[in-house]
Amino acid sequence: MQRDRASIIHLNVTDFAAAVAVAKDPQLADKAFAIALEGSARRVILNPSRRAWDEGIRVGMPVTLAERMLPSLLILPPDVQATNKAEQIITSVVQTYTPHFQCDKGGHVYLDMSGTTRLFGPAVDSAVRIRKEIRERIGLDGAVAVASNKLVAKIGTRTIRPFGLAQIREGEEASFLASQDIGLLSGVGQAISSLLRVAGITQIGQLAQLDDEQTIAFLGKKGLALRDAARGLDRSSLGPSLAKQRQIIRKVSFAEPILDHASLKAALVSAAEDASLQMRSENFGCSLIHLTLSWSDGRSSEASKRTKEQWILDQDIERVLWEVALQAVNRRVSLLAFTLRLSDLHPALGQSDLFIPTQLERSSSLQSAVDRVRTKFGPAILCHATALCHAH
Amino acid sequence: MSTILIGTSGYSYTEWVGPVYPQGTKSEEYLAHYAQLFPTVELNFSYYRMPEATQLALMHQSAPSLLFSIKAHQSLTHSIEPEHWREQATLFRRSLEPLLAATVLEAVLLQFPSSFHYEPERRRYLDSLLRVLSPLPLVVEFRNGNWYNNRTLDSLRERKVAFASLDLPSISGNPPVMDVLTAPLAYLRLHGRNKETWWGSDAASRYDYLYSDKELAALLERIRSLAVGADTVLVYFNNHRRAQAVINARRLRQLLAQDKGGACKEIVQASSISM
Repeated sequence: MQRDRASIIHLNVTDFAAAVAVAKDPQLADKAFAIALEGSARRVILNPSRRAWDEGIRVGMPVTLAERMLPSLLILPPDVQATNKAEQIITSVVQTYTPHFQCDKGGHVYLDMSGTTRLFGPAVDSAVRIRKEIRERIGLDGAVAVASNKLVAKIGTRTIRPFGLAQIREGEEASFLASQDIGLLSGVGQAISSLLRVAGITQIGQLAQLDDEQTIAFLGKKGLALRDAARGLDRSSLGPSLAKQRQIIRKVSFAEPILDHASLKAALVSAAEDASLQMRSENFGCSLIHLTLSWSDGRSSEASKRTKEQWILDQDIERVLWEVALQAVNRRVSLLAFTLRLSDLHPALGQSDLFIPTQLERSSSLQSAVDRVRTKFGPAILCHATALCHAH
Repeated sequence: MSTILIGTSGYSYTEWVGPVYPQGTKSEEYLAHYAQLFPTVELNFSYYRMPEATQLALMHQSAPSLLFSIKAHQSLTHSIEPEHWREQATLFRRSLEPLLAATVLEAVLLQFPSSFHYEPERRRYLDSLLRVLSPLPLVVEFRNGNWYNNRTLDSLRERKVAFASLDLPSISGNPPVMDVLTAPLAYLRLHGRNKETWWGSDAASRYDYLYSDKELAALLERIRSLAVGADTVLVYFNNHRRAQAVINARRLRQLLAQDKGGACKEIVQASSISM
């Protein structure tokens, strides 16, 4: 069978958490409100409502600044239960169209509609119907785009958001991208955007025109991936779906059974650093930390902790993990192994740069610096002092 | 609540006498007959010849129930003369006064050709034109794909100017499909999907196309999506060669009526989520 041409659909429910809040309580529709973590030292806006957006409130903005700008701004905590339920309903809709789909957190869904034309008609018609079904079932509207790959479909929805339909024909990806704002390209955050602006590059097409030499001179070798993206090149396939409950897992088996807390803590810190580095590199934060301990007598115990907010930084994850471990360590038997799971992954704050960190807060700046070093030289090059005894 | 109005692009076609208008109908009677079929029409003679107020007043008199959209004169969109366009815009605007006074003017369509590129000079011109014609209910149609970007959409939103959605043959050189609400008014132009004759043939052959029921059903879904958030959705068929526009417009109205049990008005309400 001939492969359908532009057959990737991207559905993007803009400012998902805020949209879910409105769907749950329609009275919020006319109010300026924003979703933000509670009680965090680094309290920033996660999702502004449309009304708040119109007033200049943006993702990543410190809550204190947002409240100064708009004193009437209502701050709501994330409603993980409601967003999870909305995601489940979205998944149930899309899986009736194709078995090949990827439900990312935050209201992003990709579908590969290859081979479905005889069943459902052109992909663009399916895109319209999927949007309608989701709107009618849970009151969430969004932007849908159809293109030949995920990258272009995603830029399509970013172009038209918050609502609408776009279809980009195969072979016309580069011309479609050419006049789009450079900020719509994944991997271009504040820092790279500023860098490009200095060179007068404000549109994706201008970046696409750079040759290898110019790109490396200007952005370094990592810039080549960004330049290729600007040309609409993307061979990535759809990843695991939400149905498979995406999580980051680390399993650690001790060379010899251990009994002391210090050794356990060291191993946990080491595993947490490793797992959370991967999580941040995928631009996620987690809301659930789960630990399973395997004892020398063949039994196991487990404990977990959940937040309505999000854990992103090593310092938070390590602290919570140790609290979880203390709940699970309820026996006087030697410990053979443990399994750490970081679950309920949600996109971390806003659009991040592909290779230049933008966080300005001290702890997150430190975290970014640590991540950079560990990514470049390997996780073992830099670790928490507590973890050293596990490493040796 | 959103009102969906369906009609055709133009009404004055001699080849419609017989299939649409009774045999022997004179050209000055076309519009009255048309008004018995559809609630709205997109006037396109105004593109070729600058309309006059008296002419539009007479048209309204001959079809009082009809709501009008009108295509802007070519001197404002295709053959723009930097020295004279403001004068032309003033003339065009003045001609609309009878329709404005009778509150039967739904939209003013500014249709720009594919040669109208996304360039600073053209952008400045468009900005000036929109200012001069404000606060008319303006709709902009671009045939050049480079205008289909986030900055254009944001600018139209700021100005509350509608972005025309198009249905065209899916072939290279045509702009992408893009349905985006940038104003309380949504506007969909259906040009047919005749791939073979789209490029390099005369205008009549280009629009020689009959939408199938399946295609109309899919278009209806697009229209219903546009209706979410819009006060009014205007839908015009431009596949006029052999009166297919009339056949398709009638059929789409039937489908819409079957769908919601009303003629061409539907209530759109967002459902709510209970969690």
